[in-house]
Amino acid sequence: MTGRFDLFAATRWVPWLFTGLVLFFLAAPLFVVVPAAFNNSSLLQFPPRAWSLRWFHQYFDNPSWIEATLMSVKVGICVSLLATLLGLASAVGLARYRLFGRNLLRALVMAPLLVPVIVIAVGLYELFLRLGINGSFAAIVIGHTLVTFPYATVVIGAALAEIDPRLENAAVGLGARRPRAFLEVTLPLIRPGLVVAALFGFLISFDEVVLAIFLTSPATMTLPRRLWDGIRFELNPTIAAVSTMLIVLSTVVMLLSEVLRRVLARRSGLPAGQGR
Amino acid sequence: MAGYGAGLLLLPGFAFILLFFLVPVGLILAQSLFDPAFSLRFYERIFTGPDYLTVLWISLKIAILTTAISLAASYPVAYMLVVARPAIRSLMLAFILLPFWTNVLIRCYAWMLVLQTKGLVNTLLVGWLHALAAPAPLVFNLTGVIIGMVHYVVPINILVLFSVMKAVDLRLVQAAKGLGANPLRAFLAVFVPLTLPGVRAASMLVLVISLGFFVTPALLGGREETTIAILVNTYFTEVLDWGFGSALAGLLLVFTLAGLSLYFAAQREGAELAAR
Amino acid sequence: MSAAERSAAETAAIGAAAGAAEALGAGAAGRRGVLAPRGAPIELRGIVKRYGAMTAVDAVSLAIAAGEFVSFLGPSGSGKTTTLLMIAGFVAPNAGAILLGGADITRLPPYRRNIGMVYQSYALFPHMTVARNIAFPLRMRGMRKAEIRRRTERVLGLVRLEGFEDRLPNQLSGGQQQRVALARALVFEPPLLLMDEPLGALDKKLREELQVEIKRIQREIRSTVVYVTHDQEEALSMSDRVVVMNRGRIEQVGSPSELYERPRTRFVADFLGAANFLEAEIIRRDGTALLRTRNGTLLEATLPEGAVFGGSALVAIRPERVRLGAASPLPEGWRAARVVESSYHGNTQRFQVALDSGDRLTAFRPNTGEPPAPPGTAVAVRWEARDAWVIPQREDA
Repeated sequence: MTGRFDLFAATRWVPWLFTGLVLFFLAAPLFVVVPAAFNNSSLLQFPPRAWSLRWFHQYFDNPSWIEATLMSVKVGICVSLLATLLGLASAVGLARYRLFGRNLLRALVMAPLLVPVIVIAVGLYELFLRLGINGSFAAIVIGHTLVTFPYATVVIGAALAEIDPRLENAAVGLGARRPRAFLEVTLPLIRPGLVVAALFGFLISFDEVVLAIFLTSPATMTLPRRLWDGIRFELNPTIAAVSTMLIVLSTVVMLLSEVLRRVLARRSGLPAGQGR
Repeated sequence: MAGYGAGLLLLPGFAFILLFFLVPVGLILAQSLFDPAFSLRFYERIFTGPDYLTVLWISLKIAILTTAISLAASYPVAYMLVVARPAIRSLMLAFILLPFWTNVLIRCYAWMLVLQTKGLVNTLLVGWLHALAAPAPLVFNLTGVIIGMVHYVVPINILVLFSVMKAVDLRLVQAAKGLGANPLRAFLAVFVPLTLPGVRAASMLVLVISLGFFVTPALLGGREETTIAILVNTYFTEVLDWGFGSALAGLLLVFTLAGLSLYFAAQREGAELAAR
Repeated sequence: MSAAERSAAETAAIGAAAGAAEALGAGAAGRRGVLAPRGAPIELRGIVKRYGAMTAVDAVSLAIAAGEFVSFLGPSGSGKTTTLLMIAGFVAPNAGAILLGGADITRLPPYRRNIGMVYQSYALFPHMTVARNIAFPLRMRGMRKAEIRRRTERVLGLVRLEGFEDRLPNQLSGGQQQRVALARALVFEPPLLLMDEPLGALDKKLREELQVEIKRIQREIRSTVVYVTHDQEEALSMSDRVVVMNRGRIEQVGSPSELYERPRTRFVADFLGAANFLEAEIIRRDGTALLRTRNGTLLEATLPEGAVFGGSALVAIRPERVRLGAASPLPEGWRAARVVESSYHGNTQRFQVALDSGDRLTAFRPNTGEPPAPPGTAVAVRWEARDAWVIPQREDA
C-alpha cells in the first residue's frame, strides 16, 4: 500500500475545518461588542477611531442600570434557593414514588420547560393581573422559579441516580432512621448536584427575558428587561458596555463552575470528569 | 422500599406547577374558547384572515429553516466532539458553552453590530475589500432572523447530539473498517444509522424551540418576519385583545404539543433501538 | 415426606439444640471474646415473600443457634438474598415470623433491629473516612465521643486496619474496604451478623485470605453469622451448617460433610461439587442395597436412614471416589472400563470412562505425574459401597 495516495488521510482536515468554522460562528460574534463598548463615538463604526470608557461610566452613573442589575441579583438568589428546594423535594419524591402515574408526574415536572415561554408569560401575566400582584417582586420570582425548578429536579435527580441506593439502606441497617440516613448519607453525596442546581437557577433567572417583559414593572425591572428596552429604544453603546461585562461574567462563571465541579467531584470521592 | 412520604415530598413542587403553570395555561385556553359563551370565533379568525395564515407560514418557515441549518452545522461538530482528544474536546466545549451561557439579548445585539448596514461584515465587504458596491441587507429581515436563530439553537443541538453519539459504540465503526469498509463508508453505513433516532429527536426539539421563540425574531426580524409569538405579544400588550391573543397562544401550544409528541415518539424509538 | 414437613421436623430438632448451644456459647464467649459476648439465636418460621405471581421465598423455616455460622447457598434467584433482606428488615415477608433472641422482630423497622450487615458492594459511605464510617452506627445510638473512639480503635485492631482511620474508602483496596465494612457491622456488637456475598467482588486469592480472616474474627467474638454465597467451596469451608436453597425453598440443611457426603436431593448432590448419577432398580436390600442400572451394571450402595423407596432409585457417586487402576490383570473387585475422554486440570486429571455395560462415569485423579491415559485405553475402575449414595426420589423431582 506504500506510496498510494490515501484520499481519506489527505482529507482528514476537512471536518476539522468545518468544525472550526462553526465554533468561530458561535463564539466570535460575541466579541464584536468589546470594541464597540470602548468606542469613543456614539456611532457604530469599525474599527473605532478613538477609545474611551465613557459607556462604562454611563452604566455605572445611571441608576436605572444599577438598580436593574441589583434587582436581577436579588431575584436570582431567591429563585436559586426556591428552585433548589423545590427541585430537591421533587427529585427525592419522584425517586421514591413507586405508584401509578409516575411517568405522568415526571412529564408534568418537565412541562414548564417544553411549553413556549411566551405562552407561560401571557398566562402568568393574566393570572397575576387578576390577583393584583403583577409587577411585584413575588411575581417575577414565581415566574422564574417555574422555569428553573424543572432543571433543578433533573440535575438533582441525576445526582440521586448516581449514588448507590444501598448506601442509605446500609445507614438504616446501622441504626439510622430514614430522615437521619438521608441527611447523613444521601444529602452530602448529592451536594455537587445541589450546587449545580443552585447555580443553574441563578444563571437562568439572571438571563431570563420573556417572563421579565411581562411580569416586571419599573420597580422590579431586571437587567435583561432593561437591556431589552435599551436595545429596542436606545441602541447606544452603553448596551455594548453592559454586554461586555456580562460576557466576561459568563466566561468567569463557566470557568468557575468547571473548577467547582472538579473540586466537588474530588471531595466526594469520585474521579474528576465523572458525572454531569 | 415502599415510598415513605413520597407524596408529601412531591406536594410542594406539584402544587407550584398546578397553581402557576396549569392554572395560567388553562386560563389562556379557556379564554380562547369562550366569548363569553363557548365559541371558536377567535380560531376562525386566524384561519380565515390571510394575514394570520401568512404569520403561521412565516413562523413555520423560520422554524424549519433554522432546524435544517442547525442540524447540518451541529452533526459534524458533535461527531468531532466524540472523537476528539479530551483536551481538544474541553476547548471545543468552551466555544460552545460560551454562547450557551450568554444572554440571548446580548447575542442578538452582537449580531446587529456584525450584520447591520454599517456593521462589521458590510464595512469589511464594501469599505475594505470593495466586493460590494453597497451594503447588503443582512439584518432586520429573514437572513438576520435565521442567523440569530441558528446561533441560538446550535449549542443546544450540538450538546444533545453529543450525548446521543457518546452512547454509540465506536467499536462498531472500528469493526466495519476491519471488515473492509473505508472510513467514510464505515461512518455512513454504521455510525449515521445508529444516530438517526437521536437526530430525529434532537431536530424535533430544536423545531419546537424555534417555533415558540420570541426574542430573536422580534429583535433581528423586520415587519415581514412577524411570528405567532410576536403576534401573541402584540395582542396582549398593544392591541389588548386578550381573547384573540389567547387563541394565538393556544395555537402555538397545539403546534408545540404536536411537535413534542413526535419528539417523544422518536426518542422512544431510539431507546428501543439502543436496547436491541 | 414433603419438603415443608421435613423442614418443620428439622426446625423442631434444631430449636431444641439451640437453647443448649446458647448456654454453651455464652460461657465460651465470656472467657475469650475481645468484644462482649452477644451471639443470639435466630429463628425463621415459615416466612414467605411473593413478588406478584412469583414466589421468591416459599415457607422457609429454620432455627439458628447462638454463635453458629450458617451459610445460605444456592444459585441466583434461589431466594437466599431475599431471605437475608427479610432478616435485616429491608423486605417485609408476606407471611411467617422472624424471631431474634426469642423476640419477634418481623414488624420491626431495620434501624431498630440491631443487626450488623455486610454487603457485597461494601456500601461504605464514600464521603466519610474509615473512622467515621465505623463510628456511624455508634453515633446513631447516641454514644459518647470517648466511647466511640475506644470502640473504633478496638474494632480496627480486630480487623487489622490500625492506622487507616483517616483514609477515604476509595483510597483503600477491595480487601481493605471489606474489612472496614466488617468492622462497621461489628462495632455496635450486634447479636447477629448478616453477610451478603461479602467476598463476591474480590479475586480468588484475596477471597481465600479473607475467608480465614472472617472465621478468625467470628471465633473471637462468637457472633451468630448468616452468610449468603453462591460459592460452594466458601460455604463448605466456613460454615457450621449450610442451607442449600433452590427456587425459594430449602433443599437441605446440614453440616458441610453431611451435605457433601449424604445429599438428600439430586439438586444438592449436583450443586455441591460434581457427581455421577446412575438410575437403577433396587433388587435387594439389607444393610446396603444392591441395584442394577438399565444397562445391567450391578452395584452396591448405601441407603439413607428411614427413607422409604419404591423400585427405582438414583445413585450418586463423587468422581474423586472413583478409583482408576491398571486393566490387566484385572484386580479382584474392580471393573473393566475404557477411557472415552481425558482432560488435564493442573492439580487433577479428569477422565470419562465407559464400563463394559455401557454406563459412563467421570473420575478425578490427583495429578501425581503419571502419564495421561489417552482415549481408548483399557482401565480398571472401583468404588466403595459407602461412596455410592442413594438419593431419595422426590415426587416433584
